[in-house]
Amino acid sequence: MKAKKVMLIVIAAMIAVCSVWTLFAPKDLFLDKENRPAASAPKPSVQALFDGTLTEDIEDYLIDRFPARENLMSIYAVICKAMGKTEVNGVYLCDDGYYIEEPGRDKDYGKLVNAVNALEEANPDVHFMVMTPPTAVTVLADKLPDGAYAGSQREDYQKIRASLNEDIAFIDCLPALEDAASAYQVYYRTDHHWTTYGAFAAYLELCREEGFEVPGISDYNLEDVTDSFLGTVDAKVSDPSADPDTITTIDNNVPVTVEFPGHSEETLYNSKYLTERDKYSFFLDNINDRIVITQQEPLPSAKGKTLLVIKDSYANCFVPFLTANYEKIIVLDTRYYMYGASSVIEAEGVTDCLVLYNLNTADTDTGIAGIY
Amino acid sequence: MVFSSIFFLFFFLPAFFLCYYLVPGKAKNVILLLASIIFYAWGEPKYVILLVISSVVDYINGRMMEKFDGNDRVRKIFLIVSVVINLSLLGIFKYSGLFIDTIDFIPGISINNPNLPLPIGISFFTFQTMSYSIDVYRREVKAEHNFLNYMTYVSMFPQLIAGPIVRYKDVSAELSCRKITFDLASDGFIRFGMGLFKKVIIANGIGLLWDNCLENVGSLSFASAWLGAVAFAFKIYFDFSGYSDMAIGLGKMMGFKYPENFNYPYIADSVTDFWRRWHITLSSWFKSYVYIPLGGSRKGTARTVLNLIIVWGLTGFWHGASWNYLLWGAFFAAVLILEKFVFAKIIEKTPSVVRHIVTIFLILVSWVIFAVEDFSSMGFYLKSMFTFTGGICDGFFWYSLRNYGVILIAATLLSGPLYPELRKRVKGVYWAKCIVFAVLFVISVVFLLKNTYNPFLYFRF
Repeated sequence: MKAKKVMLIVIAAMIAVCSVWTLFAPKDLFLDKENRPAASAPKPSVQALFDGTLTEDIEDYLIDRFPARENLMSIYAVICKAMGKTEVNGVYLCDDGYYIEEPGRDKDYGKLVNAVNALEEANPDVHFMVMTPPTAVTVLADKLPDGAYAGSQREDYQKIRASLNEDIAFIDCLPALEDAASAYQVYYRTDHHWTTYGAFAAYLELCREEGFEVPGISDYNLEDVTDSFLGTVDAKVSDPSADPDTITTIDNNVPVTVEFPGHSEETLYNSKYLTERDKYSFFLDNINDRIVITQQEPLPSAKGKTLLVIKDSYANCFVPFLTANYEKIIVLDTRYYMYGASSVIEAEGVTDCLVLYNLNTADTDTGIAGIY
Repeated sequence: MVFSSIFFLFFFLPAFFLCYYLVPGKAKNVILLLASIIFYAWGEPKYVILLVISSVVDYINGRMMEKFDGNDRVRKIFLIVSVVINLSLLGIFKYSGLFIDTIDFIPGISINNPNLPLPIGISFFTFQTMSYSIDVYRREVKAEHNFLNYMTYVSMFPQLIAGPIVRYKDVSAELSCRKITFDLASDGFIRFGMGLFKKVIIANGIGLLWDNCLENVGSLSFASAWLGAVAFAFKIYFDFSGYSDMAIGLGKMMGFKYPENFNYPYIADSVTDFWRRWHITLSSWFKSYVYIPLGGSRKGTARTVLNLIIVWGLTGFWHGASWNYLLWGAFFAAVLILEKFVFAKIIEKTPSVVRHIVTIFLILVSWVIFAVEDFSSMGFYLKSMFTFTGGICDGFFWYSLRNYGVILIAATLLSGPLYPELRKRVKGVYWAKCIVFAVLFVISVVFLLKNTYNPFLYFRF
């Protein structure tokens, strides 16, 4: 009886503490791990009350402010692992400490292919390249838990390749990535991006395709800028025993001027992000609708060549390699750039265009609607 | 509002009980009624009106039947009014969409489907108010005079949206006067916590496996298809009985004694036995208000068969506005008729182990009919269960076993009377028991917070 009383008092106290804490938590809060602001305070209105959004907003608001939320998520991961699970919250716990997202099913890349084909037809004088790197789930498939659904990126990759216009050069990076994977870490263990080494392997393929000089990794100055990177996939799992990644950057000794919206820099990297959780944003300064990169002293081989890059975030660590090959590179994020790629091609005298989307999100990326 | 939400657990419930325990006896019903209306209105306020209509109609019917106590014709009219109104509410808000869609299949006919959202719990509260009117008509209970008490009965939030179906006569005394003791309330809380655990950890956990199987329907191997059926069987049992446990527990905390709704259904040794253990308040409702009035089994074999078909057709259809539920009911009608009239003697002589296996086999098949609303997917699924077109076993099966093995074992153990047995055998160690409970409660909250997966099943009922 005494035990029961003590237990009930303890649970009642826990409930009381949690509810008071949640109620008095700050209104503006950033959830670092999930890389998003906490749900904002619900706005009561008759309409919201009647269409049910008010109550949903209240629940979201409370959940986001629950005490020790992130630690509780870690408890969840620990319990799942203790139960022998190899999949937690849509993420596979793979060999060698890799966390790889469960792939979606029945993906349709028609929108991307149609947009690129249309853009190419509208700009027949521009040389088009398309690269759709598969993600870790395909390249590192041997690390997945036994029997785990591995998706259909291989088939999708070939389908995309086959349905592009004949004049578009498809940069076949999949074999290159698979080869490189045996020698280098080509994907982050805790993040959904490829590493600089993965991007390098794909870059070599682009060089071969385009007839550029093919460099070796020793031609670059490599620098490990952080060894404590826990990325987005880790955030989904919240596994406390996750092993952080190292971010490596390259320097190809080609001085450039980089015009970001509103300011100009001499580097493609923003080291401010290395102290934050979202460290991949170090490359190309996270999200910008338009960046223009110009060689300070145009290299003879690059002179007169202007490249337009239409891309997702996989390109952010890929673009640094390209600065050696083009006098000018314009990087568009078509999610935010509202004037369309064609207008840029015309105004800037673009000679080459690279479309780069990773296969995991190349079907749903909201930027695709802005390509053509 | 659903029980398994942060708002309910950490705000609504503490605030409610604070008020409920502080106010004196007579005012408790006012608090309970207000709380229930907020609970019901949460997310869909406009349908509170249905709850009120259903309550007012049957309150008046009850009073009228009492007033015209000597005139059976008039009493019968009021009974018919009650049944017609309640069934109309069900017909309009639950089934009209299905009927319109079905009629639209006839060439040349095209009716606009208003696509009314299903009012939560309508299947439960209309059945409760009907039971009241019928019981008053049969003079099994006295009509309630106090409208506040009556409305409280219809709307009390613990069992409002997912049962158990509480008949008025079960709680009529407690509605006007109930005792709340520490023992009862603490038992109630523990029952609630166990229900939460069953729903949030077992049901939601194993539900993911079932969803994976559904995604693969068409390419499932034999073993995976059966594993999926087992997963669904556990998911629906732990979800539904967890919800009933939570309702019964909350009822106890308020001083109500709700009827039990489940009695370890998966240890049944025949389908007849299964239905004595599964959703007991629903099957006994149909028994008292449909099967027995139709003559039950007293009017010869042919009539009994017909009665069984009617009752099980209705029971199936009650579960959702889709034709597969009717098929599901028909499946049980067929099995129950065969058990009763054809195989009764054979079953008697069959060893118990075989009876259990056959029962589980039939129940698993029935769950696939229940769970897959679309007939072509259902066909694919059943094909995987009864042929080897998708192979005998595949990687997906082993992957699922690895990922859900622990939950499957826990679910299997908890499907039998493990807990009451342990309670009987393990005396003392109160501290250990309390710590185990507290830990399970905290884990449930953790899993609840991992809210990416917390679907609520009963919006179809």
